[in-house]
Amino acid sequence: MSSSEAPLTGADRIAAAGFEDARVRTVRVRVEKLEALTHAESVGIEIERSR
Amino acid sequence: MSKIETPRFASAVSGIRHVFIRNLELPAHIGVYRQEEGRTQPVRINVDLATDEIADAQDMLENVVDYHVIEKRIRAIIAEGHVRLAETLAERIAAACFEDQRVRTVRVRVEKLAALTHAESVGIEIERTR
Repeated sequence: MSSSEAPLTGADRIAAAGFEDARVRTVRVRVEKLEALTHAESVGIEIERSR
Repeated sequence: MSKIETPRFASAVSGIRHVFIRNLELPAHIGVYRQEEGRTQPVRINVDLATDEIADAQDMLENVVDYHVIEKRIRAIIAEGHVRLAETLAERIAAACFEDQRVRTVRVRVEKLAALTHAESVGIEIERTR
């Protein structure tokens, strides 16, 4: 990633890494934080990206 | 713990980002029976939000739906006092999630963990869309 690019979220970066293989058409990434809330198992996000 | 079937909200085509809180366990005043009055019992809450996707969130919190805000609203709702039905709790949580304009669909599951002696939980799940 070039330094001129705006920073992406963690999930977006993982999705972008998936697309480095030209055969990948769609990527779904789920990122969960396991210690974000004291009384919850996790919080998180899921994204889907297509070329 | 039972496996939660997670909705597949995330969608590239529809521009949906899925934000969730998994297995938030809190004490709550809830129930219709006499033995449920005047005391708390554990509830487990799962929230799934279909939110408007931003192609580039720029790693900035204000560009995404903040689960801390959602959790605070859930705690505030529970702190309001006794509710008779898990359905009521779920509806209030869903309504609170819609305060963020980027939320399109909410799925809320409320489980009571001590309601039946020989069951892990009883509960309800609702889904609401704007």
